[in-house]
Amino acid sequence: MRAKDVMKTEVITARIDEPLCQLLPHMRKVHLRMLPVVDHDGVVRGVISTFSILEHLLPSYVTSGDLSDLSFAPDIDLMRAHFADQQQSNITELMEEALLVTPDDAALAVAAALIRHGKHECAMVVDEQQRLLGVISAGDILNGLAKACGND
Amino acid sequence: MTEQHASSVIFGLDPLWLAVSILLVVYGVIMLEKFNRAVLALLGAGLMILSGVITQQQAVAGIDFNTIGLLTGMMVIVAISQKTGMFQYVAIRSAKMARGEPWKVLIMLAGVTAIFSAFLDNVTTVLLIAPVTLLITDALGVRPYPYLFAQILASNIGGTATLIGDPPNIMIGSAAHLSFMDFLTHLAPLIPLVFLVNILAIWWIFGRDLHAEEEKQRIIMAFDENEAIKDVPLLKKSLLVLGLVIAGFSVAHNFHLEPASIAMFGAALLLLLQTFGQPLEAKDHAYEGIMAEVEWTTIFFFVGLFVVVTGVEHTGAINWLAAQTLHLTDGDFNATVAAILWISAIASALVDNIPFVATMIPMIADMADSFGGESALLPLWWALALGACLGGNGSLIGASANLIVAGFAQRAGHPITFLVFLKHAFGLMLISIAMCHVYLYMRYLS
Repeated sequence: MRAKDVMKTEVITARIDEPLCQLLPHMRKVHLRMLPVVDHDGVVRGVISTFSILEHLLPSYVTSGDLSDLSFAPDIDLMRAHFADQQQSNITELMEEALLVTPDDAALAVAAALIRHGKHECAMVVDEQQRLLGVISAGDILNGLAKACGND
Repeated sequence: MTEQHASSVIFGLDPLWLAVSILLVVYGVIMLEKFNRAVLALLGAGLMILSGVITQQQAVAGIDFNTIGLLTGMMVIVAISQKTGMFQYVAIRSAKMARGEPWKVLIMLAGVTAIFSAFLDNVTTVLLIAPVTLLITDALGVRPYPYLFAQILASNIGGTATLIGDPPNIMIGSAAHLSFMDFLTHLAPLIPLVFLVNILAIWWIFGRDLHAEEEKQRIIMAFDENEAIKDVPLLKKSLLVLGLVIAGFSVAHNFHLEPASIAMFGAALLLLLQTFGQPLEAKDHAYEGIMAEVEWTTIFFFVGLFVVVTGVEHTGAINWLAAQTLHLTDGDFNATVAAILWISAIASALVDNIPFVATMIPMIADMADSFGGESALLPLWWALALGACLGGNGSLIGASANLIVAGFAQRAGHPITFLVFLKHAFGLMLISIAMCHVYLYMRYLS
């Protein structure tokens, strides 16, 4: 079995020039925690997730782990201020550029190993020009396996 | 000393020029900051041996294991005790003692940094204090630059005060057989004065413009420092061992013990106490975690550097350099002290002070005969220590702690640029060194 056999091809994406104030309501509406970011040619440029947005709302000395515990600090409303500041920020400033991508003819085990070692639950399936073909999640792989074993 | 180098140097090259070339290339490439300095020092060390300048035995004999042991031991102790949260506790406590008033908070945080830096290494101190400082300046709504600037200066000034405060002091103390108490009685008295003058200057440059709303000052008072303490039993154990180690340093000389023995014993004791009563698996896990936190890169850098300098020393080049320096100063002791102080300061502001001090140590030791024995060299050692440690304040690249703080500032969106720092810091460094000059003159030379 290959990645293309189990991947989802109907993918909601974010545009590269979208500001946060447009993207966030959209993400909430479709109940997705993670969207691939594509440019005008459909080439994958990054991933935007609720997690990566959250990371940008915390001070750098917290996200870097130098002061990972703030239990001694009162509510100094840092995040609200940062949230307001970031509203007009472009997605490119907030997204993760390290991509979890796999070619569509990759064996299922290759895709599974990739997802297992990555931070997100899914990987993006791309063609040779890095254009987005679909996404593949841990659930998709399990569904594909169940189907193949006749357990569906 | 020329007769000590190995009998056959590769391709029949002149050992003196070969050794000096290796040293200059290693130092030069370190300055480029394109490669890891430990790797370069170890390559240089390997070349010294492989090319036949020195034998492996001579190289190993040249490594100052007192410096290595002291550094490693203190790194282990700090790696364990920082897990208790005691450093954050002290930083928050000090900001609250200043009642959240921006200028007083700056003085308190700089003071805490100076005191911690005197007993722990500077990099660790700023790694622990700078993030809390950024949180406090965020809460106060003031720009962090003056606070971080003061912290950089304070870490280098505080580190100058004791034998264990800064690597140059560790190396000098070890090579010149100067004790912890020697540093406390000869260098420490000057340090509060240097700190004070720097703080006054910082007030003049930035302090007058630091204001925060009263509401924000109240936020500082709402910080709960007790929440910062993560592990009370470990805190007690860490304080016990830190106390024992510092007491040990103070009396070590009387018992003919080297500081490395005290630090390593303290490290072993704290490693034992840390996981006392836990199953072996948990002990092993904790032990491996601590060992991974020791900065082995720094340790290997020292090892490589000691071998490179030993190679050059064996060829007689350093002896020659000492003679030339004496020739330039006309053998005048006062002029030699002044030259070492000012050259060390300028050099340390521009290049890594560790290789500089490693090279200067044998050179100063070589001057013993000219000035009437080892005991006469004391003011020269203090000049080297003061110049090398305080010189680190001259520029952003003068000390590792400076770069660490600059890294925090950059990530927090308030970059400290090389030139802006130089503009504020270089003059202050010169004032500090001038104070040292007066101090050395009044105490040892007049």
